[in-house]
Amino acid sequence: MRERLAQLGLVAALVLGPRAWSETVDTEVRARVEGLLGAYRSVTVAEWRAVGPGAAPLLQAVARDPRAVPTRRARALAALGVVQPEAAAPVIQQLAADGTVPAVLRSAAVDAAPSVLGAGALNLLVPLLRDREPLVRRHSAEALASTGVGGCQAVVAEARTRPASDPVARAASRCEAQLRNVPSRDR
Amino acid sequence: MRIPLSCLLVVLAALGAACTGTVPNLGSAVCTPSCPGGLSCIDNADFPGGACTSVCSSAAGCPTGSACVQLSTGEFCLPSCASGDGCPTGLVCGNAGNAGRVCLAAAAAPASATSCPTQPVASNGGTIAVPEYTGCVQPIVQSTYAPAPPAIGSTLSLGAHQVGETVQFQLPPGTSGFTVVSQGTATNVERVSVFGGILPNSPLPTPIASPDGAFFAYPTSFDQAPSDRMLTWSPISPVTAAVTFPNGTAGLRKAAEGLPPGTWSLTVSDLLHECGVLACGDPASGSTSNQYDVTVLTRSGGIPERGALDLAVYLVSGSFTAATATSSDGFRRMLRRMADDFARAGICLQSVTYYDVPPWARTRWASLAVSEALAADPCSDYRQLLTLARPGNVVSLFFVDEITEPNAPPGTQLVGYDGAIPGVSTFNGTTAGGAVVSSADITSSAGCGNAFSISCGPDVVGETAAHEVGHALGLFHTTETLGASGEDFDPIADTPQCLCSLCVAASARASCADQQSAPAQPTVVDGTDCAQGTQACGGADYLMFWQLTDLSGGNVSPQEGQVMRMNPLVRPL
Repeated sequence: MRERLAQLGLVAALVLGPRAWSETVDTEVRARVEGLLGAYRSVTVAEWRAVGPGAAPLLQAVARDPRAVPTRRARALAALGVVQPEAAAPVIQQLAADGTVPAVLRSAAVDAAPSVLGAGALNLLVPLLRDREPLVRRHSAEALASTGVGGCQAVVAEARTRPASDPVARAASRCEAQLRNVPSRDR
Repeated sequence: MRIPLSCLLVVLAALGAACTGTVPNLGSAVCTPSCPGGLSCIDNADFPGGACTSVCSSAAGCPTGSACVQLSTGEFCLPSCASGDGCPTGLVCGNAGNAGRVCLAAAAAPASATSCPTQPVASNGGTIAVPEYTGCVQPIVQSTYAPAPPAIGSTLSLGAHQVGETVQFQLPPGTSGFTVVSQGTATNVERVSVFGGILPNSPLPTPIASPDGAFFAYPTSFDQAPSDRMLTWSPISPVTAAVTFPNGTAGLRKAAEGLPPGTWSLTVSDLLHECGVLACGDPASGSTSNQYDVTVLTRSGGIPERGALDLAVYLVSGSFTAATATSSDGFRRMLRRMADDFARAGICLQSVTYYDVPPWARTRWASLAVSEALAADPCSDYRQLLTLARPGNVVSLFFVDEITEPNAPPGTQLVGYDGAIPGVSTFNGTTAGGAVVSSADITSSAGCGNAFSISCGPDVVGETAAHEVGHALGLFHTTETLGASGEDFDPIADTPQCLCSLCVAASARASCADQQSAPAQPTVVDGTDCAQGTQACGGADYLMFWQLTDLSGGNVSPQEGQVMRMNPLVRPL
């Protein structure tokens, strides 16, 4: 069901485009979203939830907007993962895998992947352990490490092919400790 | 004739001819000529510059045609209005929540930009030489405070003292301000449990006594308006912190008069100790176990009309080097924005030195996590990064590739984070000095045009860096999330406020923090709420507003500029 909704969200975004999305948002909600995206401090999950799913079209439009600055797009994506995860899923998949997108935004998509995509995050994140951007490799390794045994096994395996200074190798040390505590039949 | 008879019959005769502030930068308690019978001259954060009005109580006691409105400093009778034409000169018709539209003070005008003789000069300072850290470092450093001629101050090293000890120091004639820096040892208690939350155990000298009596004591109740307090202090940095006088309206007035020369004293203290009186709930409340190295920096010569400032920018980045930054269009535009903002504070940005950091430092800090908990830990990566700053009379900014927040929704990126308010000026290399700024947006130029835009990366980075420098030089936010009256912090009277219950839409009003003591999901004030042109619903255009939006004009109030120019890092020009 989640995947189906995600696909619908992607299709709608492609058909309508960012501008059309943003025009459907209530003025008050728009003001709230614009303000929270511009906050110097971080915005909590509870604050985004309070804005509600009505914010999703605008957040999606900002996350996809190539003219918006990367930190703003990242915040919009993170917020979208809270207010409407099913709409966030396709955006996360697209941005994380797109090598032309700024590394910070791709890393944000990687960070959001486990909570939004669930088990499906592994398929997205494992290939990114070999990404050319160190920041993306780092975030992918850390995100995989947070998903449990399966993710950690992928990180440890990839780390064996990389120098100790590589971000994947650094995340692997935490995974190795995690795997040592897992009964061998579960590894 | 713009003052209708109805308004004269009610209570408020106004700013302008009937009632004019005479000291624009400091506000004035003098309404000239005096107020008509029955009215009082009110000169405070609600009416900066002075206005003749009368107080009321519990939304009652005002004549027909006026409403009793709760502003930030009290309840006042204000004429009802339908449009700007119905208000006395100097007042504007604006929203006042459930009271409808009333005549309010217009938003205080921001300061005009000073004219600077030169543009900032950027240079490449090379790579700093710092051996790799093997553990947590908490250096106690010496000040580099060396005011250029003409001499405007001195450094008084008072040595190491236990909490509770009273220490004397001498202020020479002509002193207008001072900074007290307290640097704790590594064995000090770092955090305090305060009413169920955790705050950094920040040092604070209190009480401070002048030769003619009491000068400042940390309040045991917070009924007094922030702008009436002699000093405002905020526990942001653990173990090491500074407080600079003046940092608010009452202090600026005192500084303009000059401080009494002679023997002063301060008592060494910290939040944990003050919690003994405040009954914060920490089991160690009232403890005197911590020790601090105390230094006083003095400042003479009054509040300068204009000042100069230098920056050190450390590029903790896999994307930029000092060499590329000095020749980058994005960095140049960023500096222009910063210079424009500082000029509005009466400060000329002069030299900017970019430094590279060693590879081990880039590996450790290019991707930085920050949170309130991490900021309360002197050994967190965030606090340890600040110790890389080299000695010098500069504000230190650390540009990292990204700033993440572990407790925010996954994927969240921050644009900046300050070390303390104020930073520990001239003591570079402590865990409390400087600020971090994300450089993630600097090359994003698709939205750059002639005007400031939040779609222009260099503008965003420049405005963020200027905002963090504002904190480092002593400024608090003009308005916080819940609105000016929901959170009590800005000690400056001439910054526009944004009072939640007056400024937000009717549907959101009931959940304002100034309407309920603890709403489940309090209403947040946004840029649009705070851009209504009144003193009660303004401030979105200010550098120190809590959000960065397209409404941001980088504005600084006259008093904010004065606070910044009294920081030890700002040289009079």
